[in-house]
Amino acid sequence: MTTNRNEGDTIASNEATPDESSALATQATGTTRRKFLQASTAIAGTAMLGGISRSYAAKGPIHVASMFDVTGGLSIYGLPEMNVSRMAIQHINKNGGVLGRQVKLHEYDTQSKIELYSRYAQEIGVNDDISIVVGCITGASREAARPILSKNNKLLFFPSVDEGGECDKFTFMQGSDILQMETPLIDWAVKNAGNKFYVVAADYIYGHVATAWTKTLVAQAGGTIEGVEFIPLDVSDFGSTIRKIQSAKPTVIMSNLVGGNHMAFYRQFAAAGLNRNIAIVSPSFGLANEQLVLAPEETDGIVVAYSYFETLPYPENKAFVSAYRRAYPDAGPLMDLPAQVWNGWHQWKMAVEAAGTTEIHQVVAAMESGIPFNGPSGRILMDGTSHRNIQDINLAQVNDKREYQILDIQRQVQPATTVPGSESCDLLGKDKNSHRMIMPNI
Amino acid sequence: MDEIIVIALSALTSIAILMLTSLGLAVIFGLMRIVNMAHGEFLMIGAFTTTVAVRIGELSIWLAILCAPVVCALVGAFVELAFIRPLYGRRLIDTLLVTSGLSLILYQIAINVFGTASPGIGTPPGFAEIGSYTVSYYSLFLPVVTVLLTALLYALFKWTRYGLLARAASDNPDMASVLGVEVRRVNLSTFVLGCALAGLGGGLISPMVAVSPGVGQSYVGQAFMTVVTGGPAFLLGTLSASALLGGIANIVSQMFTTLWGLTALLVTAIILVRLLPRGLSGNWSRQL
Repeated sequence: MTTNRNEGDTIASNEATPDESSALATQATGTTRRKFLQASTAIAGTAMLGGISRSYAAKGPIHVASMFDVTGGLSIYGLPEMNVSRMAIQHINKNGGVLGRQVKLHEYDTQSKIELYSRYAQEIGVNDDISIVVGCITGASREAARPILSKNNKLLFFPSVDEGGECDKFTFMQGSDILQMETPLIDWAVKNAGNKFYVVAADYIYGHVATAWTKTLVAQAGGTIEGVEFIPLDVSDFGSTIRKIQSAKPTVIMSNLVGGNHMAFYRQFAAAGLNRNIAIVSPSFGLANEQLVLAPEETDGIVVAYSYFETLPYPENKAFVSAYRRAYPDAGPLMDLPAQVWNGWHQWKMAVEAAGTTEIHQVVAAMESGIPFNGPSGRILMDGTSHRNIQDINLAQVNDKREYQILDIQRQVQPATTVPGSESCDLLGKDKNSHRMIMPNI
Repeated sequence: MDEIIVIALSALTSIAILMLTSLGLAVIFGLMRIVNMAHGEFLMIGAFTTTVAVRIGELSIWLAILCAPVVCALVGAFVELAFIRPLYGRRLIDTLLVTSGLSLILYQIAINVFGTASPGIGTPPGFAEIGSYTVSYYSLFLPVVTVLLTALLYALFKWTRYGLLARAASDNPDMASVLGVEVRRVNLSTFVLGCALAGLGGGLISPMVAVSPGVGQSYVGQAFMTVVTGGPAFLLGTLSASALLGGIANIVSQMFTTLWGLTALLVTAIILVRLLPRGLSGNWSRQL
């Protein structure tokens, strides 16, 4: 039935999987259930005779997909990412498509539910037409989808900032990693705010790996760690944490906090007056527009590091921002994640055009060859060994008007190839057939 | 010494937050036996009302907090008339289904209206210095409000005619009705009161947390646990449960980590419900 549904879907309509129309909330679906049933029964027999949908697809558009949490708790990240995904495909189509063919985006709203990532990955996996997914937000959602996609020979481009450790021949990472972001943050802190660090981190894999990196990098920079606290994601009362920070008397807070509830930390930290003499640096602050939700006096002075900021002066960025504002006038400021979705689609387009096909091994080889792309975040270049981008990292400070002021730009920063306390990944050498994630040993 | 005072104050704040976010549920679930899964969304509506009143209405934070219960009361009145009224006397599961659906709808409306990241309001400034520690005034203000609010509600349910009728209408609606109590109207007022309290709770915590459409959801589980652990005396039972659970969670967090604090809260609630199946106030003679 699953196969029939997908065959039927391809021919009856290129719009939506009819029984999941809620999942594709943003698409107009002209297909009624009845039409779908007619089409799929008609096709069910013939499809098995061979290759109908494939030959149909070869003449038609190239099918691609995005999976983001457009609704539910993670929609703070997912909504702008899906917006940019749609915008990127429209932009590519307007400029002649890919290999002269139009690109058809299938949008999957994963509703902030991990189980939907597995389910949609399975649907995409058995769909012969879709060859690539740009999607997933959290590491957990990526690990739900990635093994299924890569087993079915589908590419996955992951646009989030992440903790590292991914080592899959068919997966490419657009977001910057902890090493790329925390190195400049810690250097800045040691120079400008003192070298006694206190780490607050989200209590799941991202927070733990990020903290392992923080410890390593702080030691290298000659600093000390005065305390570490992991906070479950649903906690928003930071009274005890604030008291512990006051006892430990650090000069800098490294915040590896994540999500809506954790924003309360910055507020309660400022309310107790701690922002007067303790600096905050963070590789995750701002991804959900924290600087907008919190009051200016609460975020003034926080230092972050990302490869993308809306204020970057490149012409590619100006065009990107104005196109986004035209398409989504009510959306908030653009942050790193949506910009990486844009980068992802364009890197894919260039790789497919270099390879001359959407065949996965040839596209992977083209990606690994490192075709530079000048996008909204400046120049990016895929590093074949780690499947991560070599990219600029901007150190920026929030000012009292909720804006980021760029302090420093580090050009073409190399990504990490190792995982703290664990092994390294070399997708051109020893790992050229790997489809795994290296777990940190912490 | 400073440290002990600061820890005690921090525990009081945690207790106050737990109580303020549970009070509305104590009335709607504890007294009226309506499983209100949309409780978190009422907190959220209260929080957004306060935020909007400060940012767009340019009211002072204190007036803005008072707007929250008014708006929630109006929403509550609509909800009661439209969805809850037909469900009195039916199985608990019916109210659970209806309010779960309501919760999803209110949440999505909030996303459509406010978006996923909307500007919040800061905590009213000022902090007290205790030795080498500093404590925000606002976090000291919350326990005071909690005590006043509980006392006020106690007086309302204990000594006013409305309070008597409200308890009668919930305890034994048929008998109350026979005796001439207009049960429908009394239930409407009580439900609206519960919603207003949830709204006030949301308004009061809004300057301490980041207000987003999902802001209420992290409190719902704890609020249910508190009200259930509190038992039949919906007001003082809930207060005792808040004191016990909030106090333990905070102090364990102080000694170990936040995760252990949260764990301690859950474990305490489980043990209590096992030992006292009717809740903390199960054996009390008082009913409030």
